[in-house]
Amino acid sequence: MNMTLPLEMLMYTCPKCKTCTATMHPGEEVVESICPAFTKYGYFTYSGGGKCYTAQGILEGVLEPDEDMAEVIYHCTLCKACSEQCAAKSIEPSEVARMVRRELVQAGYGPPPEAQGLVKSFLQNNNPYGAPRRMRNRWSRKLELKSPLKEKVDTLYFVGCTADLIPQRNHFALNTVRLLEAAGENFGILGEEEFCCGATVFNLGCMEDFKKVAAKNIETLNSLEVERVVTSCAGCYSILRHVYPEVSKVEFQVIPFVEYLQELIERGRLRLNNELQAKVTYHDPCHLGRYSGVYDAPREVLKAIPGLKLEEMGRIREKSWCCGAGAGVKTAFPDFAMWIGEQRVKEALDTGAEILASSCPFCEGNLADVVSAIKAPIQVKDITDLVVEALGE
Amino acid sequence: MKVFSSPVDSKLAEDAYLKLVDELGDEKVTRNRTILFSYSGTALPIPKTMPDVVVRPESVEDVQTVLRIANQLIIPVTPVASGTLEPSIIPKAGGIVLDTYAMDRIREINTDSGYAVIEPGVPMGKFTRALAPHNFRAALGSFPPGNSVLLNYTLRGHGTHRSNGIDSEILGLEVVLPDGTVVETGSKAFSQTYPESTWHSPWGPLPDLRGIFMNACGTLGVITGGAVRIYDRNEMQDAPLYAFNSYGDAVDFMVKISRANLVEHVTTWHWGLYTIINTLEAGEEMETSDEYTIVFLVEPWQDPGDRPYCVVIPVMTGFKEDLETHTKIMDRLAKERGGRPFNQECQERFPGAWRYWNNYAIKHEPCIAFMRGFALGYGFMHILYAEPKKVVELEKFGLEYIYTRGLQYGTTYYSHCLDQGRTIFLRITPFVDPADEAEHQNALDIYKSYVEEGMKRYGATPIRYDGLVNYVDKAGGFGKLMKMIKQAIDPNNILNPGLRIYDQGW
Repeated sequence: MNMTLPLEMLMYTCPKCKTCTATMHPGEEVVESICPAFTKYGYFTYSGGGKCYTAQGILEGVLEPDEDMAEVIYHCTLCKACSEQCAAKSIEPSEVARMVRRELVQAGYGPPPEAQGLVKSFLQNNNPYGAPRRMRNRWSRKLELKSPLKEKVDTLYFVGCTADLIPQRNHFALNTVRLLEAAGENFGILGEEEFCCGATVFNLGCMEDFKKVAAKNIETLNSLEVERVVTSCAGCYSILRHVYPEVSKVEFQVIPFVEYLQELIERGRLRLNNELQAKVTYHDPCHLGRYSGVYDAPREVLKAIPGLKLEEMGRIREKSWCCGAGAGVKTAFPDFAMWIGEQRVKEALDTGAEILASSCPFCEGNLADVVSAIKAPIQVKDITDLVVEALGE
Repeated sequence: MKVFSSPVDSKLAEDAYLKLVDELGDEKVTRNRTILFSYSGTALPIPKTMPDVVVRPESVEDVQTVLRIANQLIIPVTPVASGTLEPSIIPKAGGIVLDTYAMDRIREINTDSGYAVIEPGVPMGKFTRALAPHNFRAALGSFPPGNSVLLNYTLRGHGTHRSNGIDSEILGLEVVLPDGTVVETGSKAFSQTYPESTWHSPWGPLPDLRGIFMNACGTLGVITGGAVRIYDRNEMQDAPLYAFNSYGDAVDFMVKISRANLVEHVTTWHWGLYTIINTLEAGEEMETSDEYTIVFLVEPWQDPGDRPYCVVIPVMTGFKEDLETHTKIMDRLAKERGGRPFNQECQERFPGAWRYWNNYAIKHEPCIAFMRGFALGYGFMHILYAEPKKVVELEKFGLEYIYTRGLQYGTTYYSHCLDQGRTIFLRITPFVDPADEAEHQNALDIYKSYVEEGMKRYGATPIRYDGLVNYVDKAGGFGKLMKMIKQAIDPNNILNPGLRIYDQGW
């Protein structure tokens, strides 16, 4: 994820070969769609290459940011599948799409009207969900957790707005705390002092808003002198790990919780004694997978749970199909988000799995909505749910 | 890059849009300006033109509807499939772009007769994967897996690489004419009268009408399906490599082994090209590679020192005993022409090129590494056919002619032996700085004059219409007949009129 790549470098090398739209590289046995927007809407413009052409149009003065452009550019979850597939390799269509979003925002055509509430809330409440600041940290009020602002801790758990403020996603935070405690970790949370990481505004193209909060968060996190920051949200992790260093100097180490979990299990600090007799399939969150290269840790954690059998879907790891929730799509275009998620849930059902596990509250939210809407016979769970179950008492 | 506005009257465009939405629905029709722009041109540095409407038909009936409306209103229609570089898919006259990529069904795989019936949206990657379980394969061109099989095959050249010298992979075509008539060619022509008719033969008792739709760039009809040859993988596939110190020796070798039926197909690669592909396949960036110097700074006709001037890649298929014997014979024929077997040396010194040729010639994987070459700039398509001795002269002339005319980057080529050496395909590719508009113009001028010189001096012929030169008026009676055919089939000139095949280039 690069905030400074020259636009020309990214645009002019697209030969319109459409390899960005499906898995077609030599050695791949089957061809499967991989770009949700192109698969759904079909026009080349929706593909990764098409976004490069749009940027070209802006640069050459043929296209100006307008509603038409916003319609195309925001119908994209920025899942990065196109960048991963691109045959030219020198192109990063996801980055181009972000740049075009910034142009749209500057010209007053972005974010989409339905997503503007996210930005407004971010500016007013420091979270995108419209929740007043006092609502933060309600999930942990009875837990007596440490604050690194008041005492020395080794690990900061950066909870993230979704796990903090969305009641259905609180279990991410509760599980993480439960597991850190079980492992005897000296950890703390920022509680009401935690600010949104800024992923939502960054992905919507509101760069100025993002930079302000990013700078503040970096300053806070740098000052804590913790050994590590762990996050249970793939979006937060991706932003803290890859984008913050572009804003200013980062002096802390950030780790996705699932990776830390793997370490805790491997070192014997967590013992998984309860058998879970079930078939599970794993959905790679885009920001943990393609953006960050974390593919093995979640699978190793699942394999460490006694009795659990991992059945893989066809599109996994670098070639994973997006859940549909990202980059403002869930809020701005809920039908599109549900369509994307439905493709994924059907793929999960094809494996015969009873559980669709993931490691991101956004993914879980959208996939759970789809399962509920189509009454699919599968449970959506976070990996930490399963580990807590396996932990027993 | 220049981008022209659509020359179509805005009221006419509006009428067409409304009628199309009315009949096809708004999911298949758009005039979103951002979408229009991405259909205005190709990756080639050729000026673009904005269309007025883009339509995504999903069936033959949808195509008929579009053509009926276009004919009523007399508004241009440019049919496109997925291609990377073809000038024929630029909607120079504005109007409607008909994007056939949504027509992506593989209707039939007939392993008994050896053909498949596909729609224009079927990409090569999908097609090869579908054939693999049947132990069949398709002719591969140097186009990437996302590109349309039918589009590339109907433009020839691309699809001529695997068929024992036959210059077309197309057995038959299903075409919608501007008046909505659906035409099926070859043995399928009788399907209305004899429903048992199939696509097995391109010929019948009547003239072979495939040809008028091949290389026609959608000016005579919209191709909605076609039967293409598919090939048994046989017991063994092989591609033993040979190194030669001159293109002339390589061509002589290619013709000899082709006429003796030792190979199914054979190509030769210039040192610049296999050096590039070796680097790209290894995952390195060309600009930062040590090889950059030799490819882009050494005159391409020079002896490249410790690497062979040309590598010949014979493609073989059949029984193991046959292939082993044929390889021994080729070893001898290569030595007689100053060449040498190059397999082991290639594996050691150029592992990326070795892997590429293995994937392409033995495993039959569509190539992808070439696409990374676009980071170096746009490749032009200076493709000419010529007779063997003349093509050897053309190579000498062409390399120097193109390289010395002030382009920033290098020049290289590959060559196919077609129809048992009756004609040789030579594609010389200079690379052009994608951000330098003056260089684009220079590259276009060089291209046009090179083709003209090639035709004048060496009796060469371009393999497809490039939109730059008026070939029809240079074609005498043939050109006259073409104009008559166009007049009869498309009297309102709605189909891809911007390409101006029938009057003058642009």
